[in-house]
Amino acid sequence: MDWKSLYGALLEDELKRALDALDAEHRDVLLFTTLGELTYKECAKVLEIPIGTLMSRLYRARQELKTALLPYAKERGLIRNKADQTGGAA
Amino acid sequence: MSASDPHARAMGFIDGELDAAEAAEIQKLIAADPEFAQFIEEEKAFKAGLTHKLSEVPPPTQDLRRNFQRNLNAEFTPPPARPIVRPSQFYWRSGFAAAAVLLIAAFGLFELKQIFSNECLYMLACTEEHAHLMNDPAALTAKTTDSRIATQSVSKSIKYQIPPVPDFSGHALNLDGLAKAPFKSLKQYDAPDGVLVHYSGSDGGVSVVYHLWPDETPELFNQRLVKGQIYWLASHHGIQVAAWKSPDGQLLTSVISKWPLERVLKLAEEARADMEGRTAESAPASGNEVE
Repeated sequence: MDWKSLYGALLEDELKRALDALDAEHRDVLLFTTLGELTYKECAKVLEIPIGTLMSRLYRARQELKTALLPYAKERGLIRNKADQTGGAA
Repeated sequence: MSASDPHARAMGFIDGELDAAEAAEIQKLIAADPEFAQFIEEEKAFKAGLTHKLSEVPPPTQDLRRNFQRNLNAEFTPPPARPIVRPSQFYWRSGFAAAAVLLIAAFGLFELKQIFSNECLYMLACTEEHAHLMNDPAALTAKTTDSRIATQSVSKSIKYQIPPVPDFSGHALNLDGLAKAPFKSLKQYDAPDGVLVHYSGSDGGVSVVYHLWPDETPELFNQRLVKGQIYWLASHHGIQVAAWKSPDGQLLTSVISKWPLERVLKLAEEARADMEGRTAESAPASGNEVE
């Protein structure tokens, strides 16, 4: 998947919808670590979860977000079939 | 899944959060497993794209990280009281009491007395419990008809030092069709450049956020709300912010506006007169509403 191209073409509202579709706990961790400038330790303290749990949620959040963004990638012709969806990095 | 999963620990590796030994383990995996190496590269690209996309949102007007860091260790610190200019003793007392009545009646803030000094620049009605309505226009419409939530929020600007007030528990006001549910808890976050106050709702699930950043402009606040930063901020500090969608699918944000002090005073006087007209005693009857 060419994530750079997809993000470049993605509308803000589309990204927001995809983020909204995430599990709330997963979304929290994703946004906190991606946007919030907080370290894992700080984030884990705020959310009152172990760092291991935080990393697990973050992993799941990123996979969920990828899945949520796939339709937009298809719309823009950045992905053609299911095989491409798992075809690796751009 | 636990963090023993290398894919989960890879998140920490990509974000530079692992210690040297843990990072070395991931490096070994990368060297030994081409698929895992590919996974790492894709995750890096994915994160870079997401970070860049999110960074297009204008940053907040102050250092959120610093604020958050402070709040990690201090749940609630009342801000220092500020002197208030008193036009006259009579005017002050009547306006003061009326403002308190208006505030209490309007917003059902039972714990308002916990606020020693407040400069409420923005108020945002919101609900987390109703978040599912974003994708359910029919349910949203039904909800809005019961006056507990509205498809649009309002904001007020109120500058008053709030005195101890009578217990108006059980009362709430249907203000602009905004919120009718009583509030039952309060959290206040002291920040160097302002205060965040959160009133969580009761059965109605309505919350109110006073967003007290002096440098915040309505435009920036709305912009950040639309683009998710406010939502993000809120979701991590027990502050829920409205992000409802209207039946036609349009995202509704708050109408952020400031009320001139003169208007607040006028409304306060009207509210006081109205309250006095309704009851001879200090406490209103159950279910009282002021509009």
